[in-house]
Amino acid sequence: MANAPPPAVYGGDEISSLVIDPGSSWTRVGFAGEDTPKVVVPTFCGKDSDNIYVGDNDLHSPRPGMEILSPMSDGCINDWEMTVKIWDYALSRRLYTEAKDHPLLITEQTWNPSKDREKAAEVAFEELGVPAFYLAKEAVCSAFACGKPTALVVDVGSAVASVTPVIDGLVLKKATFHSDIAGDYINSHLAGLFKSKNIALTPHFMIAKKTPVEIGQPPQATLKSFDGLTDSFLEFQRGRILNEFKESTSGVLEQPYNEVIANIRPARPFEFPDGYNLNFGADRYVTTEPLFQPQAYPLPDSPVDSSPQGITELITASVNACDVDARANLVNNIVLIGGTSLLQGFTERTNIELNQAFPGMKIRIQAPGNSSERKYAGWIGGSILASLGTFHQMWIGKKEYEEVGAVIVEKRCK
Amino acid sequence: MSSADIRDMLDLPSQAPSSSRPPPAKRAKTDGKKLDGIHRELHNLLGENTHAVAVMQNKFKEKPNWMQKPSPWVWTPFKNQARKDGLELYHWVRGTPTDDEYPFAKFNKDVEVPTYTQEEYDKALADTAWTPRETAYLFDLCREYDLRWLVIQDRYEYEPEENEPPSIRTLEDLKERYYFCCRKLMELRRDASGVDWTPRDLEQYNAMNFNKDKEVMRKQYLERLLSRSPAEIAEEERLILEYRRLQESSKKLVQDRKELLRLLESPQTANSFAQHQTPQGLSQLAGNILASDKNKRRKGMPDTAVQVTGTPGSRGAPSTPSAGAHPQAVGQAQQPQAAGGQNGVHGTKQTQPQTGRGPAPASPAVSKAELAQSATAKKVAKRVPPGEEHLYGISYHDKLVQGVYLRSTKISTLKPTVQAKVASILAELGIAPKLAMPTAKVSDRCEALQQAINLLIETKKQADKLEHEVKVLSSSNAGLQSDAK
Repeated sequence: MANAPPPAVYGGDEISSLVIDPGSSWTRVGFAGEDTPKVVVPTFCGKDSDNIYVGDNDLHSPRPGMEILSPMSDGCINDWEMTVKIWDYALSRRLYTEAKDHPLLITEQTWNPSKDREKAAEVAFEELGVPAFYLAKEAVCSAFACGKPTALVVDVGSAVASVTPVIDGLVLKKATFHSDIAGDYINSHLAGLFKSKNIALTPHFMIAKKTPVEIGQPPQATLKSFDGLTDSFLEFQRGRILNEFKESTSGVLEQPYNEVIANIRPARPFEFPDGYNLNFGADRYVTTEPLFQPQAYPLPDSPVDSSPQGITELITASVNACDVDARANLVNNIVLIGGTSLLQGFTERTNIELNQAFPGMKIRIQAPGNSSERKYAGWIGGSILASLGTFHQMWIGKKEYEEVGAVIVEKRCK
Repeated sequence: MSSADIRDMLDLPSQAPSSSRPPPAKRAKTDGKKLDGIHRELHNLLGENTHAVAVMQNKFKEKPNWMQKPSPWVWTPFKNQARKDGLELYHWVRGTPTDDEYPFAKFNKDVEVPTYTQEEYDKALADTAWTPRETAYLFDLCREYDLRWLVIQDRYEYEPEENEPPSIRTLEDLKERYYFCCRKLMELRRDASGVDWTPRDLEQYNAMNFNKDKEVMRKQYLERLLSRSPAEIAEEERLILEYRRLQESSKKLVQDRKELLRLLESPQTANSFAQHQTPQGLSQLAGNILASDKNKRRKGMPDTAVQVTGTPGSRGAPSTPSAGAHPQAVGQAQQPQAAGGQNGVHGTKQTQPQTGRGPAPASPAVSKAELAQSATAKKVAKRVPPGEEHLYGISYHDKLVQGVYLRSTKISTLKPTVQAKVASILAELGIAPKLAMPTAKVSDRCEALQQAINLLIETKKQADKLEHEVKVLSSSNAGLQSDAK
């Protein structure tokens, strides 16, 4: 037909590359071109005197003397030995593949120091033996996952909340702000709340038998006894209860916290692993308030410094650090991702606060409705990037690495 | 089964007794190809009838050929021409792999950033604020980030040498330096080669004219625009609305003015007004104006009214003002009109009680007939003695409703609450709520009775109220008196 529309250009060219998105609590691994990561493993290692345990099964088995350690700090990979163990486990025992057959794309935080970036290339080429490698910024990938080359990426994860302006697929480093007031910080608040209510957080694995009890009644559960469990292991297991509470019960008020309004909201019941259950009213809102007002709601024993920490403060600081020409475009393309952003009411609150912060600009927040798109945005963007035909000129080849050395990462992965 | 069979079953006479089937030659002519299966059977049911319309049949997708060999996909190594290292990656290719250029290599585009020699730098680009090293650094960054200035400024981390002053560069500084260098280089090369610029070059040269002060000021304005408070934004919106409203009303005003001017100017007189200069002409003009004015004022009124008022002595009153421009034509048309007007005067005088009954008669014959009618009515009225009209079924009405109606519907209804009370009193009196014989007289009496009952009820209500008040006052009076005691 003469007047048929021109065929849409399909920019994909699959070269069967692997994508790894290491987060502070979960590492996402999968093949590029897919819409969700095939493997999601905890970014934690269990370490006792002679073994390192990784993966869901081994990590959650109570072993005497096993410490739970995280290879991440501040959102960046810190301990490469553990990281390689986790990646190896994910690739060989979960994905049943070998890294030496596939180009590998790894995501990193914007503030990743250059020595860690070079180390990543070294690990990829020398320990995993990949034919090609690329280190992509997680914020850029998240923006791509939402279909935007220019965006203000607001990523609220477990350990780190960050705001990154992305212009034409390149991050603005000087305008990137991050803080540790994110999911884990909420967990600390929740732990404090339960402590003040004298609720013992008995982890799932300790429960031998339990009988249902009325609301607010003491639990009736028989516990298994274990010897020699480490504090870090117990803490890790209690963290799972806190996560469960946060995911099922917590929420964010649409306006700055106000006890009267919080009390009007219907209370929600939560049952702890030992059968104890309670209705939570205002408490489920007050514990998330530090995300927006960290100075007003600090942890009892650790005051927050005055640098921008709350989500709105981070966004405002980031936007104001950008050139004035870019600001309107950035606030019109805010991408809100990360697991903690799934808290009920989080998007509305952010929107309302930003409208107050930037009254003269049109705010538009794009937060994917699908929870896995929210949690795995970085991985999905990496998956898109690594399967684009035009991207294949960006890979760092093995030969290039051998010729130039690890410094090539700084030159190529901008 | 053929149509003949069906006719046989339904005991219908065969249409073609000589041959039970339509001739095969004819069938072959009607449809080109031979039908089979269910189609043939259906076609046979049609009998000798031919299709009234051509029926297009939907064609299904062609059956895939399962037996054919699948096209092979091959895991093929390929080299990307956009790469310099010759990295070999693998992808799936349909059919036999070829050594063509990698299809995505053509998207590898760079922005052209000029290069310069040391000699050129010394000649044209030297600047006290910029060292050659820093300029080179800037150009490298421009090349690396394809002139994305926001990114260039973000990544600009020039480390000055020991003897250099520390530099803090704003985005405008960087842009100014870069575009200054580009323009200088263009000038230098034009002068060196002696070849004048093409229009495109000139355009490019002009586009690179970067005015730093203007740009800084623009950004300041923009910043101020973006940092308005909500109150300021609301005020601004209000003002914009107000402005729109004023604009709208001024548009209307201008339109009204135009309309007025048009009225004042028109009608454009095409003829000279010499004809109005004589006293006669003037009086004619006055008549015209008067007539058209009256015409306008009494729009929808019968023209006769106008014609009647027009004095016959004023040489007729043409109904259209433009008619005055054609004295000849007016003169001819005037005779019947004037006659009609004169007759009309008589007509209106005699048929006074019938005013407002449509256009008055234009010809004397019609007016006479009407006259006769009204005269009979008067005569009849005279013959019936007063008080005896009802005997003849004559009644007088202020206003009659068109069409047929029930007399009982004319009895006025009261408020539902009052109506209920009236009905109960009627029941007490032994009168049915619906009249058995609603003659005009009965209906009237019924109406009167209802009004009387209504009045009675009202009076009763007032009386009760007053009585109650009296009671209350007297009791309080008694209380006061007892208190006094």
